[in-house]
Amino acid sequence: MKKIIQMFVHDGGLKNSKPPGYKKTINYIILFTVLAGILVFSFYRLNYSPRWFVIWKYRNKFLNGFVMTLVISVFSLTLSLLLGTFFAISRESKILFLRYLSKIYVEIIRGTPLLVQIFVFFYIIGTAFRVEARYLNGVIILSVFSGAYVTEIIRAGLESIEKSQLESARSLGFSKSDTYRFIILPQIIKRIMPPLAGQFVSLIKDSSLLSVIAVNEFTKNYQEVDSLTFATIENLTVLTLGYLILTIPISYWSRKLERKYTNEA
Amino acid sequence: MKLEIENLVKKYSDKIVIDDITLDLDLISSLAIIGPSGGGKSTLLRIIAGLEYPDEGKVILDNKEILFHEDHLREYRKNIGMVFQSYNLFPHLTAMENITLPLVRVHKMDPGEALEKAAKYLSQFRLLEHADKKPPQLSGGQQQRVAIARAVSLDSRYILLDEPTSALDPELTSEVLDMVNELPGMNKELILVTHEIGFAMNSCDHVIFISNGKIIEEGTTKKTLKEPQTKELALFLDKILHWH
Repeated sequence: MKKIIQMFVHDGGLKNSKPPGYKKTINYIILFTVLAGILVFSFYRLNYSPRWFVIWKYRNKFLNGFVMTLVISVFSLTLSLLLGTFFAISRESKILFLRYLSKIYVEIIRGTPLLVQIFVFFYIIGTAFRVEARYLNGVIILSVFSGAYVTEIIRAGLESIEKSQLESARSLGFSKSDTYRFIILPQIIKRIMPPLAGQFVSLIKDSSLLSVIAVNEFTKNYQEVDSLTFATIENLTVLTLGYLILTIPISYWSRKLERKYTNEA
Repeated sequence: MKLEIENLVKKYSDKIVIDDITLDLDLISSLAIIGPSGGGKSTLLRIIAGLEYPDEGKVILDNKEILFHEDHLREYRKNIGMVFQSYNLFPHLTAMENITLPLVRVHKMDPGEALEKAAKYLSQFRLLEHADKKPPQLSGGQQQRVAIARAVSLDSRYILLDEPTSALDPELTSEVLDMVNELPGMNKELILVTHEIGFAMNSCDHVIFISNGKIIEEGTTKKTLKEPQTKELALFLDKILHWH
């Protein structure tokens, strides 16, 4: 009996050791069996006979949406990096206007839901400034949204540089821009990579909300296919797996980077 | 060097750290600043280094007044070699790069020339074998020695050291002090804040004793430290030397 229980528990001890491979395999098999069981049972209750072939029929539409989501996320990440850098540096600026702007920007964006921001931008700001291209709209909204989080990531990175280093740079006569370029930047790039990768995962997921303003990304394409085929379960499966294909590798990479840099430090 | 200080005052919010200091020293080549913790000695050194702005008063070093505004100070700091208690080196750069970076970026030296110069000083201070190591791979004493080599490489006449050994394990202090001891022979003028009374006595020609933001006593090290005139200094020396 004790032996059987041992198969399912693992105490890593102080060193936090990993469970042995056979335990891992057994427990994962059980887990997936349970999940599959729930799914099969649900299908059974729905009395639903899946038509997987419709997915193949609309494969190009899914693929286009998938690629569009990726493209929008990459552009948004790039733009939000620029915004984040600008606002993180502004936060320490001598110019009070910039300092307060950065503070208010982060507060407002982090304090409101993305969906609300999408509506506000789309119906008010976008219309007023005649930003008519939907995709541009989408990228701007996502970048502004994500930029606030990136600001905080970069700010944490800047604060992680010991004051004594800035003091040394000052006493050696470095200009402010050289201090950023040669002292601060090379060090914080390493430290902010893992949280930035995490932010990229969030961006990919959050981009699905752009479907409400008819940006033709993954979720929007799913909705369109769904309205043509009514094969909701099949289509949802594709949608879920599609997002996971994008996010799991990045999450994995982010964790790996994090471990690497923690070990280096 | 000639160091004149007139009515220097420095406050942090309401706390007076430097309380109306006036000093006139001439023809000295090394000055030790000693005194109890929190007495204002580091602040005085940092003002002389151009890292801190006084609230009142003047500092004149070799007949040149230090003007306390950023544009002037940035130029001024280039000619001061400053060594802090610890973490002087940039952790992402090798010992060599720590020396060449300021030479190239601040002093606009040709990279090849900077490399040559850095190698010259690293070898002079017997640090060449550590040139390609990053600070975490060096001992605390080696880190401080690289920092001193960097200060020397700037060709500044003045080397300012703020308790350069106080963060080190006792067995590492002597290698750093030995190195500091070589500096006057290299035509460098020293101002250092230190707890090492023995070192101050042997290596510095002048000493000032600061307590509560005031200079209590000053004079040649040998005389001042052997025959303290004030009760404060006598007590201070007594405490420090008690376990030595």
